[in-house]
Amino acid sequence: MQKRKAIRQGDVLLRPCKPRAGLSPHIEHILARGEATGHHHVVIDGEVLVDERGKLFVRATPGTKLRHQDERGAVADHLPLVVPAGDYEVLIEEEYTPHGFRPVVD
Amino acid sequence: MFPADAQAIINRLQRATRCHPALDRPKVEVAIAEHLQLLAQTSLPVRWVDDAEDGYHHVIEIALSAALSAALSAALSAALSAVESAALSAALSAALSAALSAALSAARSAARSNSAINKACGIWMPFLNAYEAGLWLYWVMPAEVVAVPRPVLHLLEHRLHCADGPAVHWPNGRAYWFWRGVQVERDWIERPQSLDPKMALTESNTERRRCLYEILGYERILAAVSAKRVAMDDFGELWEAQLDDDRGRPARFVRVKCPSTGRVYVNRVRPEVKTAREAVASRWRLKPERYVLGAES
Repeated sequence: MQKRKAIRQGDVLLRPCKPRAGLSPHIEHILARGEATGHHHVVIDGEVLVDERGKLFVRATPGTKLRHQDERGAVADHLPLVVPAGDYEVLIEEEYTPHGFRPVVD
Repeated sequence: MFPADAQAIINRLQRATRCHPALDRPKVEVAIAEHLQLLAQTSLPVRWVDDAEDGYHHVIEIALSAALSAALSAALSAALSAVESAALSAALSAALSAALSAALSAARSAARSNSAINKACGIWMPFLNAYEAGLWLYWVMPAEVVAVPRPVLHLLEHRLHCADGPAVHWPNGRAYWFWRGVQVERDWIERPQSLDPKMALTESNTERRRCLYEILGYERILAAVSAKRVAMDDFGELWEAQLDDDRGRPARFVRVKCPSTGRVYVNRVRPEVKTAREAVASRWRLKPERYVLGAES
């Protein structure tokens, strides 16, 4: 079986990982929100899970997609990506500052 | 493909949106009265306010005066201060949404004949006339309907954008400036020569920072800080500049191009990175050899 690779859409990266125990369903399918633009990264037809520290995971099944969309659901800047079936940890891009790292905000 | 009657509604809305707004108050008021009548609601007088912020202020004041416990009033006061930054809301039209509901109902009605859908379509249809007559926002309050006229809008590729003035403005002078859908300060648009190019490297919001790259020009920004390119590979270019903000260490930036939009982003990275790939990977706390993508957009 071919090894799965990471999927990147703008400031969101899905990194393949092994299924983890103890995850709960997340309250929404949005992985990251665009504060200035109102554009969000959203998981379609897949599960978004969260661990006890608030870290997000995606459980993809055949047909799962990652969409960058506006508040009315139309595709925004980044093209939709197919997410091959499997589990992924969600990484949010970080910005270096002289005072430390902070998550990218857009 | 939409059914013909739904498409006709959408066409009328598009035509109206492209036009300079001309407010016909009596026509709007008749449409609102018709809408309330179809909902079997009591007719209400229409109070006009000049712009969206005034509209939000007015309806929140009504809510406050009707209130309630001190705690709730405090919460509403907080909401009132949030109104100060309600420009994006100002750019969303309630009247347009209502009229689009009519188009949606018409489309559904064509798909399957249903008297309930036809009724819904009829309820929202007056807003098509109201939008064409210049209505932008409205709130149905207990004793009145608060209405805001349509502002002048400048759009580029369906996003608010104007390169030399406000993208949203009302006749009373209330205005908002946007660069490709991102709200920015007036000076960014009207006096870009007055901006310090270093802002483009220190602004904390990436989309606003990207706007500054586009407004100021990437070359001007890096030239202003005497930046030098120190490495490049398939992942982008690594640049260095002395900004005197990191305990004497020069700042490093990776210049990358978005594969979906072609937009160039210049992002600050750890000063220790030595290649563009290492710089890009470091933004995810990954080692360069672990930054291997199966797909990117």
